[in-house]
Amino acid sequence: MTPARTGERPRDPHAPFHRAGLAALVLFPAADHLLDLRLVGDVVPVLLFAILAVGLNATVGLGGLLQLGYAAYFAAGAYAAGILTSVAYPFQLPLEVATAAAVGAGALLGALSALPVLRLKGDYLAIVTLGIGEIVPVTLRNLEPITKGEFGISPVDLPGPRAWEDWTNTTHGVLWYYLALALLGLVVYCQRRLERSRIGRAWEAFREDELAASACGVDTAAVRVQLLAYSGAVAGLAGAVSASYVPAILPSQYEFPISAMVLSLVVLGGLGNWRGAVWGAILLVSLDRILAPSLTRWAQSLVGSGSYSFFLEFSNYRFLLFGLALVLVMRWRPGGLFPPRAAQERVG
Amino acid sequence: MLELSGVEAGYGSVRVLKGVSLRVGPGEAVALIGANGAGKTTTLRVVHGLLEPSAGQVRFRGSTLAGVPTEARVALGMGHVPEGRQVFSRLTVRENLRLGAYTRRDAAGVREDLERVLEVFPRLRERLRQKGGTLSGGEQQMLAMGRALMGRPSLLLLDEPSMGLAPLVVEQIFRVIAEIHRAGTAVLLVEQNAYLALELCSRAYVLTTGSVVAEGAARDLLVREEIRAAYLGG
Amino acid sequence: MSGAEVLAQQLVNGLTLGSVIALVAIGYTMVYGIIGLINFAHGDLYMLGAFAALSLIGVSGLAPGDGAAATWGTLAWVLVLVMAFTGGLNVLIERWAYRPLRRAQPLAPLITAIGVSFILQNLGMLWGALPLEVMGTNAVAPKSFPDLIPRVDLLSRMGLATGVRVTTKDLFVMGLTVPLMLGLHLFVTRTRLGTAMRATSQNREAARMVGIPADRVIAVTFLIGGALAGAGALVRGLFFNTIVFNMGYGAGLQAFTAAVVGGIGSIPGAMLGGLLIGLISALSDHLISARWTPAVLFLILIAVLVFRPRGLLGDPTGQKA
Repeated sequence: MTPARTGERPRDPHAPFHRAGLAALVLFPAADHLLDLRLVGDVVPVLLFAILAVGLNATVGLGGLLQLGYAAYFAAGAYAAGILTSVAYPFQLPLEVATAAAVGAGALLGALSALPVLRLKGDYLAIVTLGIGEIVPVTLRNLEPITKGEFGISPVDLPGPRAWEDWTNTTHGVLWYYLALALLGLVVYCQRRLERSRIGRAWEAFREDELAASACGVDTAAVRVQLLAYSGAVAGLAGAVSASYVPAILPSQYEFPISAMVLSLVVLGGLGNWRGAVWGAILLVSLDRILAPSLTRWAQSLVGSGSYSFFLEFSNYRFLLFGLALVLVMRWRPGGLFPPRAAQERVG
Repeated sequence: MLELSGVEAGYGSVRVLKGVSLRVGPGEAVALIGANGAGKTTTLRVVHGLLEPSAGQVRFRGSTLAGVPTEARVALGMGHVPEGRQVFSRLTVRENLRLGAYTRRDAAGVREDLERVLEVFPRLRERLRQKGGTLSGGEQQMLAMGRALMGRPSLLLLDEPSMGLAPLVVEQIFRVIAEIHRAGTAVLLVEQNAYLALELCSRAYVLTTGSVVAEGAARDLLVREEIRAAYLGG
Repeated sequence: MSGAEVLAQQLVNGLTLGSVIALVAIGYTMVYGIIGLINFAHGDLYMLGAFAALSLIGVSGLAPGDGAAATWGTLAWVLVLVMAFTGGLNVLIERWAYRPLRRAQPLAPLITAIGVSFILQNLGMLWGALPLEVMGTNAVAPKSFPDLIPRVDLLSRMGLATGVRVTTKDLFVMGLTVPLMLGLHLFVTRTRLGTAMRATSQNREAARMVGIPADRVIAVTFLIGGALAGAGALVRGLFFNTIVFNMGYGAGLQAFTAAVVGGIGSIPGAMLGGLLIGLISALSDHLISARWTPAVLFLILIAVLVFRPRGLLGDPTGQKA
């Protein structure tokens, strides 16, 4: 690939894909309505995971800091929003306030998480994030008076759809779809601004060579705080949205499998490339939530139920396929589906 | 015994060796000198098998070394004393030495050689039970050499043995190398300290930015103007 | 029970649990020591070992109450087969998933390990759904492991009037784990291959330069680590009498914490760490509550990494990247 002239950004060969994807996202509810697929409600998790993926990508891809406990920040946002709005608690504040609080909670937890790792790097840093990701759900589960422990926060009442059944109601589904899409757009906007800013460049320098970056005046301790707080805030935002989407907020929803899944989405989509993160979320979550159940229904219609019905349930192969995808991509295409531009130049 | 012809090698897109050819005959002591970054260590890494040449041939005792991994080259008769000593710091001196004979099956011969090595390096005998990492720089160099000798090599490859060592220690080391050579082992010596290298060896190659710019008898090189100016401080 | 007795009981429980954790921790520490990889999938390999053990016992038809000769005889070959299974599987995983990534960017092996962990966990789930009698009727529910080891309270048998219970089950656990750990220690320190393994962990290039076949040594490391995990799985199944497809995650984290606390890369460290974590778990279960124990363990892990990353017996140079 020929180097760009100074000031000119290299053309992204995948631009057409991305534009098509954007168009599809924006037009999907219309198509859904026309084709009467009634999938709009099911697709909101795709958008939520996309938000999470873009947030995690900032930390792992841009900053090079391996975060293995991302679900904890998601939980922080969900619980903050849930507690502030649910009728099970005395607060019952409006959605906007709760969302702001959720973002704040995620950011705060992120900043606190940075404290133990100020002087750590690489593997050890990753393990600490894993530990935090474990401690949070355990704490949530055990602090019953505050979090209602194992039983979670329910009902979750947020302005808008009041009950789970409303999701099949197309109008409400479409509203939430566009809300989630708008928030994804907001997060992407922030991401793009970051990448072009001094902070973003400091993050990249930190990722490439911490020692050299610090010699150039980058405060590497501050970078850790920034990275974890920023991705925490994004996860908190996703948490607030998800809080209204689920029937109950349970500690078990915010454990390692979620962290691992978001990490997988980011890696498979293209580490360091937010577009890749979004694509990863779209592809994998759609496969998991939409294709798999359809395949299962089809297989069951062929064979009927019986003692082998477990093996026909495609969602039971979810982690096998996920894992295989990770192993194969790392082996054959470590840059992911859409490697970031610099990697493209290197790989050529 | 060892023959490099037209070897090109590098790391990624950086080409370090641009067609190096050299020869070491049986029982010969040959030096490879040159400035920092000239490619001396890279050359040895190719001979060791740690780096694959992108072009050219490496032959040992007539057969090519292409496709022969590092660990197999020891059994063929090559002993390696790497740059920076690289002793196993948490293993004892004895364990280090015994590992040098890893590929050998003759237990009696190994015991003999261990004795011989300890005679050549009496300081190591005192420290047999000590961990390699606790030895001084000079002692570690002796340990690395002893370890390589435990494989009964017919060709000993030394990478910068004088590096980081006090002059007195260096003298000692070079005396030992000379002894080893006298006993019949061929030596390929890569050295920053050109003077010592040229004193010890019979032939030498001068490497500059990846190519051999001069070669010949060590005596002759010692007196040549350019060599003296560039590498021997005038 | 008096305070001292309670403490003594926790000691006993802790040591028993700890020795199983130690066996699994050794696998983590050996792999980290030799290739600098945190093998996320190790706990799930352990879980598969447990499923293999259960299946083999099911096939053998062994039941509680069968005579001593039949029980020990069957368990002996079950142990050998399980260890061969987990050891061999580990070697295959290294060969296909990790070895091709030796020169890749540092994140790749870790993510691959996560992927392998997913695969193994899913395999465990599917295994549990097989129409075998031992697997029960519910695919994902915990499986009951036959109670083959008699639980005889030794101290009261010996005539000691104490509330502390040390049973034949505890003895069985120690009887299997201690010789294995001892055997490993002797292997690693006294044999040629063991010394070669240590050398390869310390300096792979130098090891190759003395003729040590690094790739083969790494494969052997995985073989041994995997086999020990398999043994630990059989012991755990026989001791706790229950296994479940997602037990690998929790057990893996416990064992990994043990490895870090003891000093990652140090085999004696893993053994010591295992016992310590076992003790701490038992004490935490008793003094605080079993619900908080995972958090306690993780806090300890984080504290060790922040304040003494090399652990108790580890090398000061510690971290490999």
